[in-house]
Amino acid sequence: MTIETVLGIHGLVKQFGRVKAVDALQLEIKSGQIFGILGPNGSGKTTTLGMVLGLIRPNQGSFEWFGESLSPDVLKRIGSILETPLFYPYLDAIDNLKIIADIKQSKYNEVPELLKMVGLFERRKDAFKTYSLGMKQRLAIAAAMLGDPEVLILDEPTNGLDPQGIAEIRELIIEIGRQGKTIIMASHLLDEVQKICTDVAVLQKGVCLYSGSVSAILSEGVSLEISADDMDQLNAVIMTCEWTTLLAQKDQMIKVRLNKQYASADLNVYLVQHGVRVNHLSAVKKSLETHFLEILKQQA
Amino acid sequence: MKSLALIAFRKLYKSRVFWIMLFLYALSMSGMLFGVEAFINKIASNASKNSPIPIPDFSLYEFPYIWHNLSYLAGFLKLFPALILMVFVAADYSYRTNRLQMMMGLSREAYFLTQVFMVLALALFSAVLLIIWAIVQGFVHSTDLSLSSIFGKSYFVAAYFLEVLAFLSFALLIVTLLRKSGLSIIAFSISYLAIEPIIRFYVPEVVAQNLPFKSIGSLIDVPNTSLMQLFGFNFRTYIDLWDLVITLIYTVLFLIFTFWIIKRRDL
Repeated sequence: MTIETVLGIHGLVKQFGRVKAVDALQLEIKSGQIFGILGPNGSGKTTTLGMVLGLIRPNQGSFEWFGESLSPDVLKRIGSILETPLFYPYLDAIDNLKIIADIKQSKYNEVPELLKMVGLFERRKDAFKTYSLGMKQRLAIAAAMLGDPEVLILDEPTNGLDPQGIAEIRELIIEIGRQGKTIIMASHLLDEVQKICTDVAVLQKGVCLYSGSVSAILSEGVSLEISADDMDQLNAVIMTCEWTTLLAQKDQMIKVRLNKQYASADLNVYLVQHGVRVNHLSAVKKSLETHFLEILKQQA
Repeated sequence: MKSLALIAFRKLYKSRVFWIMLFLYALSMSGMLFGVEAFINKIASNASKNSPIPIPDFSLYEFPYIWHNLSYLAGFLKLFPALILMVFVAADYSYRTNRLQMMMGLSREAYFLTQVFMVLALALFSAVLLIIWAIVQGFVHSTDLSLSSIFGKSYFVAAYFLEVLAFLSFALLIVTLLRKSGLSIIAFSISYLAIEPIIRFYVPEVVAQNLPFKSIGSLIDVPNTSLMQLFGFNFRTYIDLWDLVITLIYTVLFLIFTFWIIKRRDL
C-alpha cells in the first residue's frame, strides 16, 4: 500500500485585522501518522485547524483532504475536537451524540459502544452540564469517533485536565492511533507531543519553523560531553575538527555538537587518531523541549 | 431533510426553558382569544352608560368573521415566538454547538435549513393555536353553521401564518447578525416598536406604508366590527394582494440575507 497524503496544505494565509495568524503555511500529513502541531499559545494552531475544517475562511492558499477539496462528505471522514468541548448543556450524553450521528449519518447503535470506550456509559443519561471537565473532554472524543472516521483532529486534548485525566486521554489517543487512524494533534505541551506523536511541525506566529519526524528531530545533531587527561590538547584538537561545534567549555569538561552525519563513535576515532586520551565521552540526549527552544531561538 | 428536522427537534425537546416559554405563549394566546370578547363588552357597556347613543353588545366569535377577528388579535402576540426563536438560535452561538456541528459535516446550507425549520414550526404552532380557538369559539357562539359560513374567511389564518413567518424571519436575521440573545431581543424590539415607527414619521407616505413591520402588520387590517362602524371607521375586510406580495418579498429577503451571513462567517 502506498502512503497517501491525507491532508495537504499549500500556502495557507489567514489575517485577522493587522495580525497574520497563519502565514503561508505548507504542510503535508500522510496516512497513519500521529502528527503534532506544536507551538506556543497564539501561534496559529487552532486557526489552521479551523481553516482545514471549513470553519474559518482562508485569505489565501488552499488545502485538500484525501486529494479532494473540502465538502460535508469529506468532513464525515474526519472526527475533530477544537478547543473546549461544545455540547448542549441540558441534553444528556446520548442525545448530544445522536445529534452528531444525525449529521454524520451514522448509526445510533455506535453511541453506547463509544460511551463505553470513553468510560461514560454509566453517566449516559445525565445532562452534559453535570459532567466534570475530564468527562466533557471524553465525550468530545466519543463524538469525534462517531462514524468511524479515518482522521482524528485533536486540538489541545488534555487542556485543563488533572494529571490522571491527562494520562487517561493520552492512553486513549495512543490506543486510537494503534487502530491505524491518522491523528492530527495540536498542542503547546512538548512533552505530550514527544510522548504521542510520530511527526511534528513547529509553528510560531503563524510560520512553520520545522516539520519532520519526531525521531529525526531528536537524533539530529548529537551533543557530547568530553573530558580528557590533557584538556588543553583536547581543546586544540576539537578546534581543528571541522564537523563539530564547541558549545561550552568548563574546567574539566567540554560540550560539543556534531554535525548531522556524524555519530559519537566518529569523534572518538578522530580524537584517538590525534593522540587525545579521552577519559569521558557521553552523548547528551536532548528532549524535544531543548530542540523547540533552540528552534525558536534561531528565529529570534 | 428528515434528519435536519430531527436535529432541530432534538436540540430543543429536553430544554425545560423551551417548553415553559412555549407553554406561556400558548397560555397568553388562549387567554387573549378566549377572553377578549368579555373584556371588550365590559368596556362597551361601561362606555354606553355615558354615551348618548347606545353601544350594542356584539360578538367577535361568529363564523365567518371570527377568522378575521382572531387573526388580527393573535398578531399582537407575535413578539412571543420571535423571542423563543432568538433565545434558542443565540444558544447555538453561545454554546458554540453550531461550530461543532459544522466541523462534523453539517453544511452551512443544512445549518440554515434547521433554523428555517424552527421558524416554520413556530409559525405553524401559532396558526394551529389560532385554528383551534377559532373552531371552538366559533361553534359555541355561531348560529349559522353552514360550511360556507364556517370556512368563509378562514384564509385569514394563511395571512396570519405569513405574518408570523415574515416577523420571525426578521428575528432570525437579527439574531444571526448579533449572535447574543439579550442584545438581539433588545435590537429587534427597538426596531419593531421604535425605530421603524420613527422612520415612518419622516419618510413619504408611500415609503412608510411599505416598510417591513408596517407591511407585515397591515396584512390583516383591523376587523370591521359593528363597534368600529359605530365610530365611523371602515376597515378593509379582505387581504390586499400588494401587502401579500411585499410581505413575501421581505420574508425571502430576510432569509437570503441570513443565509448569506451564515455562509461567509468565520466560526
